[in-house]
Amino acid sequence: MSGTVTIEVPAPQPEIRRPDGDPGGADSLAQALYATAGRYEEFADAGEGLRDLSGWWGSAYTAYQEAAGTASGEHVSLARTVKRVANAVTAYADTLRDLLRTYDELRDRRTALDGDRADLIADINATTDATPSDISALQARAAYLAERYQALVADHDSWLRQVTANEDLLRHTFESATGLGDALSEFGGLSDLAQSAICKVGSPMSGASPEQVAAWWEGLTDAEREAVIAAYPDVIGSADGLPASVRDDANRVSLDGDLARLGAKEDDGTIDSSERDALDNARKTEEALADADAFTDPITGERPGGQLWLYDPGAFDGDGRVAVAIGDLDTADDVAVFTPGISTDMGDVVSYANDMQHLYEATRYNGDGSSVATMFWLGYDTPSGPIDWATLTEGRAEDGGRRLADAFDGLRASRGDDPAHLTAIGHSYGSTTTSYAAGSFDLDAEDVVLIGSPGAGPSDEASDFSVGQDHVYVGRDSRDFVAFLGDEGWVGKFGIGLGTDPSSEDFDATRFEAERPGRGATPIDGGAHSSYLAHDSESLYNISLIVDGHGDQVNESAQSYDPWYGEPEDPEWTRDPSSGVPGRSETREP
Amino acid sequence: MVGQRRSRVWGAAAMLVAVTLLGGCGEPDEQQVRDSVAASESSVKDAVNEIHEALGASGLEFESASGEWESCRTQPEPGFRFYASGPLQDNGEDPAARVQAATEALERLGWSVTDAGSEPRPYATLEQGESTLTVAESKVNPGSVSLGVRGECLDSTQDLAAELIGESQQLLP
Repeated sequence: MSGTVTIEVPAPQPEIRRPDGDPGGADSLAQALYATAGRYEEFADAGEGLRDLSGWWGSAYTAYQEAAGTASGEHVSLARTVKRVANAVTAYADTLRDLLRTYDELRDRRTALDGDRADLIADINATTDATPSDISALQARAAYLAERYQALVADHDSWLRQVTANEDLLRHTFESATGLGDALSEFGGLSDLAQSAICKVGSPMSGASPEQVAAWWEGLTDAEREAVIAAYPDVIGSADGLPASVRDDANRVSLDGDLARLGAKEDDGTIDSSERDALDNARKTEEALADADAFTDPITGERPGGQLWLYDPGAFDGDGRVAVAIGDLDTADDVAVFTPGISTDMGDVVSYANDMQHLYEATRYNGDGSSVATMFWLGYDTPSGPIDWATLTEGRAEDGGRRLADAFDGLRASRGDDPAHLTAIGHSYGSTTTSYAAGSFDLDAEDVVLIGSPGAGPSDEASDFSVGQDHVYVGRDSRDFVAFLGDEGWVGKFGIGLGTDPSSEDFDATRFEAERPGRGATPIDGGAHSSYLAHDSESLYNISLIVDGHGDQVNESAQSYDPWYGEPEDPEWTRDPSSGVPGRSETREP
Repeated sequence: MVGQRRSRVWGAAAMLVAVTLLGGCGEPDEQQVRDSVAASESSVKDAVNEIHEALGASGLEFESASGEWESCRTQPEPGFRFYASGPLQDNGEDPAARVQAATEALERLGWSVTDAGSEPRPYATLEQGESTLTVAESKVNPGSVSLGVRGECLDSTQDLAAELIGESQQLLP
């Protein structure tokens, strides 16, 4: 018996059109706008500077002063508005780039499906005397094809909404700064969407907790999220509780803006010293991010990417605040946060970001396969060194400890139901800062590592730390003079350090091997204090195990001690150190 | 127990002195650093070429080699060094024999063994002047052998670190 069987082959869909717009063109517009904002700022500065003139008085002078003040203030407002519009254009360009990548993916999927569809039709046409099994197989292929076309349609619809939202957001931003009245207003350059979103309960501008900020973000629509990133990049970029990817997007908008606006001022010859510091900091950050983005995972060969978690180049009198991560802080199984010590400023970000690559690489190389992210965190004002009176107190360490604990709370809140294994690593004065975080401000980490420590600040024993004694690790090179300063023994060292020596028996943390070949014969060996993150070092090897969640596998070393009858003793002084030895100090593929 | 807050002014002052002694008084002269950079990079590249040639006799020359500047010290005495590495050719011997053969060839070039072993994988570490070297069976690609040369750790400046770190160079082939 013969008959006709109908196989319903789905129609090809959807029609995918490339979104209008050119990211490069938008970037050029943003550059021009940033330069314009810079010139308004210059005029405002000049107007303010010329308000007070000597040798002129009377009513005409009074009128002049008022006019100069008004003009200056209006130009400040204009600069602010134009900068906001430029930020919006930069964010538009960034989003458009993402959308174009998605466009390519959608188009590739459509091409593949159309190919499968053509194959199916050809097979149907070629089939004669089909058995029930043949018919069933063809029907199954058609149904599967229809399912995939429907999934593509759904993804395309979602993508199209983002395209529209991106265009609407930029249009609304332009409309909010069209007239002179708008441009001079407090809200010039701010879209209504951004303003309404930032006023909702839990916004980072309301003083909300990291958990509340995280909930606020979850409650926003995609369009609102894009709007607040574009309108308030400074706020979003430093808001504890937000996903790291969001902070990264916002901070890259701010970075692009600073490079363009301050670069234009540099070209004009009107840049002042504080702006020069900020521009230098921005350029170093750009370089560090480029290196981070180009870094490849030693196991997979893929690029985990960099994230700009904190960016404030003008903070702390020009020293700046910055945090650069290697890997994805939103998804990594193991996350390490490194706090630097004395004399570190934002100009050091390239070197420290490179050290974070070392830590990432070592952790992956010697790890258990878990994903990793490592972050250099300069979120506090480190003492500048010998000429900074702040060096004479622990005030900066205490303030930094509070900020560090807040940063960890933010990381925790941003991960919701997907908590990471968090490790806090503090070096030098940064170890005292970390000790304040863990000893006084309930640092929410799993493990703490102190290296090259001059003292554990407020804590006399490892058990004082929030993570518990078993999760406190200490690395001390026996030639490290700074690490020699910590107090130990019943006589002590007359308070010459910044608290108890965490490598000592008194403190009773887990001390790991951290010696170097070629070490000096005396403790005055600068390399000893600065080499804890060098590749193929004992120190980096052991830290990488802790970051990976296997602190129980570190190569332990004996604690220092202070016998009542003599000077403090360090058993590591005479041990032969290693470098690049598997299982002890190998941190990468040779 | 969290200890009472103590005024440790003298302690911090001691740290100030320590940091000063350890090099916390500003950056080194940039031209001097540039001269050192050029010399060190050249030295490591020469060593790589020399090793490549010497290992060729036993079929163990580099398959490829690349180099880059990397951080080797943090504040208060920041430093960087040139590091070159790459996989060696497979001459058919087992990894332990290749590590052994490479080590012997390196010793003939004037390198001194500082450590060697077979657990968890065959390896040897060597030194020559301020340079150090590791040759070992790969952990990522078991069965293959790699070799890496580390140059001297030099004082760096913020600007030079930004300029040089992260720029990879293909040295061989």
